[in-house]
Amino acid sequence: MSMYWEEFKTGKRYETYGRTVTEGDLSMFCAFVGYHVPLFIDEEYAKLTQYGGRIAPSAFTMSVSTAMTESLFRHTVISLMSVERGRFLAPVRAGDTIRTEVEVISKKETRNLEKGIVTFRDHVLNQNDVVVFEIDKIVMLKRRIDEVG
Amino acid sequence: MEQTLEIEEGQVFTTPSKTLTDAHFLFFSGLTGDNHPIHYDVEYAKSTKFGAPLAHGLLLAGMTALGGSDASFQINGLVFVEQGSHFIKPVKVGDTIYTQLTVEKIWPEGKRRFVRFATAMQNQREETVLKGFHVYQIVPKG
Repeated sequence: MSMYWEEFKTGKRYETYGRTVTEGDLSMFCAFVGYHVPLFIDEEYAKLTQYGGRIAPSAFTMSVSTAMTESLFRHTVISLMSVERGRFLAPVRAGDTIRTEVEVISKKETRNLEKGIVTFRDHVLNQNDVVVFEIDKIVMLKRRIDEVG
Repeated sequence: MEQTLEIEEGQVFTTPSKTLTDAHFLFFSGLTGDNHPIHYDVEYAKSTKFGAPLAHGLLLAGMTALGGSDASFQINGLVFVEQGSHFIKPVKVGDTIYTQLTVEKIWPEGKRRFVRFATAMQNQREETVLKGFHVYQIVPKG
């Protein structure tokens, strides 16, 4: 369900869906982008690190979590203007279920009455409600033309 | 004038060590159309002497790719002309494998020059699961 600029309320958190990360997700992601970092692809190596096993690349978590948020503005998004303050706070592994809550941090009008800017903060949590990743996204959205008059 | 090679006999190159998952098997099955149950059907595989799905031989041969090793930036002009693989031990989901490629021989044949690499793939138990070779023609620049 896409929402226009007017419909997002500052301070409100919008829930999205959860997704269980599988070993296949991580294999395909690493193969697709060309990551050959042992921590991501070599279980025997990763066992001996402080993580105790393979973890998901940060870019995987960033990609999957941002995809979780798209339905909020699927048809109203004009552009993703920037991402800021990405913080990777805890490891994600195969078998973890992550979900994303989208908080509206601030809203700004533009000179163009058909467009508005929203700063979202994506909070990505795992099945134990541990925040694994946070990032701010500055997004240009459509406004409701009829309300602008 | 003979092109200066960036490799010499005796040199050893290594590919990144990788834990194979069912996703790798599935991807290879989809790509090649080789979906024999020994590669993905757990119940079928249990009924064989191997007990678990096996990696495709050609998937393993593919994992000996020279371009996937740390030789990647010093093999300009090498054109793949022949390879062979001897599959010594089964490789299953969860096994971690890497390949060593050793420059075995560099030789001329008339105006042409060739390089032969010996390939050896090892698992996490240090067992050699594949032994083989690659031959490349050295093609002059231009």
